[in-house]
Amino acid sequence: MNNAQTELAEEIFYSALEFKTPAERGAFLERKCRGDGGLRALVERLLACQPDAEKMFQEGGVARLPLMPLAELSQSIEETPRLAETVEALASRDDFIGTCIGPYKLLQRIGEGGCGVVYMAEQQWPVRRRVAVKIIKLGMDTKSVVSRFEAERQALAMMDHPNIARVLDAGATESGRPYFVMELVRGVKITEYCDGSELDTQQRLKLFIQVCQAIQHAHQKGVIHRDIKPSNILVTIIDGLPVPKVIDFGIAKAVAGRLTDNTIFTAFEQFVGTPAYMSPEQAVMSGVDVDTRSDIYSLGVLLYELLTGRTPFETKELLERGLEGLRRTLQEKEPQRPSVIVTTLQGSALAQLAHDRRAEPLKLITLLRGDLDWIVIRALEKERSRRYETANGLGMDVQRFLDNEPVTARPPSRIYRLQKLVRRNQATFGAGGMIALALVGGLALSTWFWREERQARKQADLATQQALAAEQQQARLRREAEDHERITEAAYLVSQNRLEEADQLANQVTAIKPSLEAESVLRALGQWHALKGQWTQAEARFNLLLEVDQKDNSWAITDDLLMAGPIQINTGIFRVMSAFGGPPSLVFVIPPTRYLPNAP
Amino acid sequence: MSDVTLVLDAISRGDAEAPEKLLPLVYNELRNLAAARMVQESAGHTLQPTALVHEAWLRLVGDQQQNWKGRAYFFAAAAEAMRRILVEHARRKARLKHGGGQERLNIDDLEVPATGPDEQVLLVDEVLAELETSNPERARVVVLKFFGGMTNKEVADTLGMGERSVDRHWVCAKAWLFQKLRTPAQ
Repeated sequence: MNNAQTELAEEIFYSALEFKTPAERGAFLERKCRGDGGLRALVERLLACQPDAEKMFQEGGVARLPLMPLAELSQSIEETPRLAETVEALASRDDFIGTCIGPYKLLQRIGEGGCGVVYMAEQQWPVRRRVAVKIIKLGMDTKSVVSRFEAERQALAMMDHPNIARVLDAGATESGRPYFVMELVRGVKITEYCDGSELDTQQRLKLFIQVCQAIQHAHQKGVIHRDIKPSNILVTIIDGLPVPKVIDFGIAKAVAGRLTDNTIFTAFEQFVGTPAYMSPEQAVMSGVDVDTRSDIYSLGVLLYELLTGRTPFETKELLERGLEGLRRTLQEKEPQRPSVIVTTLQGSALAQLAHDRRAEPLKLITLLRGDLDWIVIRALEKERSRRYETANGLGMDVQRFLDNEPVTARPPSRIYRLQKLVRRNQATFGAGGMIALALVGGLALSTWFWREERQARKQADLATQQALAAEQQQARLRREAEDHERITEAAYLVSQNRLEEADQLANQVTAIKPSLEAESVLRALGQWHALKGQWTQAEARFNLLLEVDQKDNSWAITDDLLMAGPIQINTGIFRVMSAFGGPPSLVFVIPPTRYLPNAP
Repeated sequence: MSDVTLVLDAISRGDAEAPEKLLPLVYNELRNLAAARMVQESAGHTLQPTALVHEAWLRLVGDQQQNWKGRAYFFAAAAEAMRRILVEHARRKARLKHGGGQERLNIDDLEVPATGPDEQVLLVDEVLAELETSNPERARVVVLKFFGGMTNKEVADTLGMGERSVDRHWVCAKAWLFQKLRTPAQ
């Protein structure tokens, strides 16, 4: 049989399927095959098996492979190594499944973190239950890991909180790897959950508050997490409600212990996984002097990521400059405020971000600006004494934001920045230490230092005064800048014909700087209100417009006054007439609509 | 932006080496997705492999990617990945069934109506190899339909052919596959 014939047969076969009755089909085949018996036999064979073929593929409009048990499918994907994984990598992880470690029978791999692999396991005794077992990667000093864990076990046992997954046990495998046993949490990373479920910002903040409460509880029991990051906060659904669970308590400490300079860098990749969540003091002091405020910092990073989809510093950026660069960045570089970083995003990225949060891009930016910015920035302070004192403090400030109450976080003042400058340049400013030296060194020297000190203090006093004045100035400037931004946004909205939203923005404007943009926004909004017969609002917009006109000495003031006239008549206020110096009739003769473009 | 979207962008910009990078990435995503589903769902849950492919697409790229070329490459890679995964899975199970020996499945011995999903996957895969030499275009349609779970419209967009051609290929392929699987090889 040749290809051309097969092709023809298939063509006829496919067309014949349109005819439903045998008689019609027969006639069609007769016509098409024109006595070619071989061809007709081919087509008939295809037609004969077609119903069975359909059945075999379980046709339902779309081709479908049969349903497979999720576990089986998941496992086979897990175990098909040839595509992405080397045999070596496979060998190092898969040999655990099915084996027992102590009383725990490993059933299935459920995750892989920076420092190890997590399995779902069944505890055989003393109780039969499902748990999660985390086996730490090779290359650790198992003994010290386990002993560090033992040291904290008492504290860990005291923790009892619905948002904390309990750590139950620790030990060493036969091959000498440390492992930890935890309450099994079936959930997804908090960031993934939020984006996947498209939670809006309010819902995200509510979840975040719960995380803060969990961390607070641990802190009260004397346990610091040290490795708060999205993959350690899983969200499970309980009674239809999302519940965040913090996992891995106590493990970071046991595993990391005292990091030295040599180990810290490998530690980033191997253990901590993401330096983006590491506090400045963790990076600098090698984990020696880390307290609860380090967790506050990481919570700040988490909040940052929940709000903006980004971390204050990208992991890549942190790692590419080496350890010293990383320390410098974490210690000195100020993170961009959430509302600012969001505005730097490309259009499509911003649209996606906003979509994930069920908000419009502009609204999202407006929502972040202000209180949320300052809450995040305060949690992310380089100097830990300036952060929130407790996780609860942070959570409560977020709650205040949700309740529309004033938050305690405030933008860092000029004075504070100056203090930081002084601290960074102690050689110049740090007079105290030098005096002590001078006393020892001799009178002449001390006099010289004293003068130096006095000068420094004078400078400092002066600077403080300036800073105070500057702060007031700054507050005014900030208000103006904010109003200016509102106007810019409103202008954009007006251009998009989204007048309702533009009007809401313009309504918040108090101190306005004259600009053509502001004039046109106010004019458009005033006219819009007038067209809808909302005279009071129209008048408010025009009053502000006239104020701007006056400040700006705008040529448009005459036109604007003419337009404002009919509006003010409608509100019963005749102020405008005195500006014209004429009798009321002057205004009455001008029909309002004539000056309102697009009037019906 | 995920790695996959970066690669898809590179593909749409015409980077010749980019498609190579897609398969492992898509595979990894399928793996992560399956693991995540495992944790979320109850143990007895069932899933269509093809649903997983679609979910991977939605999660990684969503409807943002308007570029049909990227979409085509993605689904081709995902269907191929799913094919390999399912074939590997079926082979392993077949080996277990036959006492763990190296015995190959003889397709002639199997009654088609009695085949389970695993056998079917293996059988389709075997005759697909033949189809790939005789009619590569049709073989691609089968991979996308059978392992990728795509609709006719999606396949048409992916392969750049008409929807009717896709349907014809698929209907004929099913009849052909059925014959192949039922009758002993000549």
